[in-house]
Amino acid sequence: MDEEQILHLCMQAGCLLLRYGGETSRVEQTIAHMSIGAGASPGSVHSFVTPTGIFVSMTTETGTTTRLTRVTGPARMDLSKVTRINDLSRRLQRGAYTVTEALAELERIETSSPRYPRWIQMLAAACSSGSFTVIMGGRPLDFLFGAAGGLLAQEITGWLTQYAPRFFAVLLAALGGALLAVASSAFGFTHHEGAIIIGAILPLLPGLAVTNSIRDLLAGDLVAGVARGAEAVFTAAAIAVAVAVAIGVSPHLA
Amino acid sequence: MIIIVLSMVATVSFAILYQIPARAIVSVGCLGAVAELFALAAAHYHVGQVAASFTASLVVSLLSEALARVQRMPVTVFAVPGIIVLVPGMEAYAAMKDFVVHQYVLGLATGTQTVLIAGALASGLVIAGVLARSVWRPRIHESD
Repeated sequence: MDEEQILHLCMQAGCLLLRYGGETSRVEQTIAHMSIGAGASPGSVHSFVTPTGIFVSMTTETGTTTRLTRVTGPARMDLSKVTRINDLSRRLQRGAYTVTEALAELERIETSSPRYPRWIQMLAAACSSGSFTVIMGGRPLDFLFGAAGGLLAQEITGWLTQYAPRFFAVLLAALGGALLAVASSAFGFTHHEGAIIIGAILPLLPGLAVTNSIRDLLAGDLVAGVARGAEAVFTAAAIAVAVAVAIGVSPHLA
Repeated sequence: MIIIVLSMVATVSFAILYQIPARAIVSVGCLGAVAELFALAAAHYHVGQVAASFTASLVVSLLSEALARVQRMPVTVFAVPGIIVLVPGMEAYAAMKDFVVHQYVLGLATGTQTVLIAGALASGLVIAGVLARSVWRPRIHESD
């Protein structure tokens, strides 16, 4: 049993899980299970995970080794990869993998391209926004405006998160989507401004952050739960401000 | 009928934005339809929106917990897209609109309604999570 390697494996898996949108409680659980699967004695590995960093420490007869990793960089939500790492951890524990193989598999998961290519993502953003517009009371024609707004919002966030904090990116993206909705109604194409705005901002909603926050709080990860909750509230506030601005301009457009 | 189909489309597309695994897509679509059915039924029988949202969220979250165990995937894969059609978008929009046109009292009322609905959605998730944690113990815990 090589403790350096076990710690490295745990860290690597934890970082990837966090970055792809896994809950912190899941990361802690996965680290515990993976270390046992990799040959550490149960209870010898402890971890403390926050949304921005991971501490793992391992106790053996020779002493305690501790590692710390800062998790940074824009998060790219990818629940397929979270699922794959989950499966990997389960298989490692069953003994289907050695530590080296598990590390190689993690590397494969990290470098593999997203489950759905870019054009499907764009199509999905448009379809979800369009459908939501109609569900919220828009007419069938409003599907198009909602879809265009959603696509615009999604593309703006995708592009801006590389350069700016996510909160700011969401603010501008929501503004773009909402302004498009307001403009389409101001120029007389439609009367369901509200439904289109709601549809357009749909891809920006912090659904994963809310769910993760609740799940972390339930699991007793208070720090992570509150941090994620704050992220969700800030994102929602950014969207609200953008919508308020767009509604404020709308009477001056026509 | 068309609303149900659209809610499935909206749910599945939203899920694709989170890159969910392909074998979860059918179940996620059904969750979206279930959520929308609850919303429609509540509107039809004049049930309060907060109560309706809570029930719908509870059912969808419980189904997510069950599906996650059957299909061996994280619960978030199902729960996040599942409740998206329940988001109180219209109320939030109305509240913002009221504030913009200086109807502050009206805005506060609508805003409170929005927050209550959002809270009901969250409570559904919480209760389902607690139930799932205590009733269906995750398999991995047994080996600890």
